[in-house]
Amino acid sequence: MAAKLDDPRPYLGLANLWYDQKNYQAAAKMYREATERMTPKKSDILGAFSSKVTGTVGTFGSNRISLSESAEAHQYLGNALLRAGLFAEAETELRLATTESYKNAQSYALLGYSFFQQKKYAEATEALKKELELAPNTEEYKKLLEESISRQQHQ
Amino acid sequence: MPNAQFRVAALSLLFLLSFGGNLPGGLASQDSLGGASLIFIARPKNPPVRPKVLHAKAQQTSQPAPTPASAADKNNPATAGELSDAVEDALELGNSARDAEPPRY
Repeated sequence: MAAKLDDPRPYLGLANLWYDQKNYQAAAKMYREATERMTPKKSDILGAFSSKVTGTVGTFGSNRISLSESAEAHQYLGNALLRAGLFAEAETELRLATTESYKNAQSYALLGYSFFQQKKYAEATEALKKELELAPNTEEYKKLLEESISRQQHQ
Repeated sequence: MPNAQFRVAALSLLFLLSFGGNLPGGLASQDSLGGASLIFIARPKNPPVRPKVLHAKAQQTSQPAPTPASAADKNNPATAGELSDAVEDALELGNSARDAEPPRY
């Protein structure tokens, strides 16, 4: 059984079930368990190095975890933390999500929202601008960006 | 006059009961978030389930004499394979319960 503790998928599955039932703190705890099993191991230095080339990071079982999967797990964790009202913790996770997968528009939107809720309007503006660069048709975020710019000017 | 006050109070209560769950949240999202409530991920993806491997057959060919269950079982490929299958089964069950209409939580 010990070998299977490295597999993040059961934690993701359980987290999803909590999330669907709107128990966001419990979901966040399970997403965190999953992300901790996706971080590169010290013994996997070559893997970490090769991630720049192959887009992979960490391992579970005999399978490699792609950078996008790891970023997605951080995004889910950030999303659940936002829902739970834990904005600073969400920011940390969403920063990781945008670092690992810098082309994910939704991670930038969530990151912008976490900044906005912490009244960090300059950072929120930057993140939301980046989101709109990646996904220009997301009208609903433009309103948040306008609000963020407005509040930044009045700060 | 008190009768009129009672009517106003009763109507207010009725209004709050009818719209109380939606109105404050709706207004809040319009005022402070600019529609940002839509940014949340509605439904995270299910974790992938991998195809199972036929471990029993492998055990028969590579280990003709079965050993009793012990702490060393974790190094036994058949046991590890069975655990792996159990995880895949659990993931499959969890995913299908979640995808069911209505979900079977």
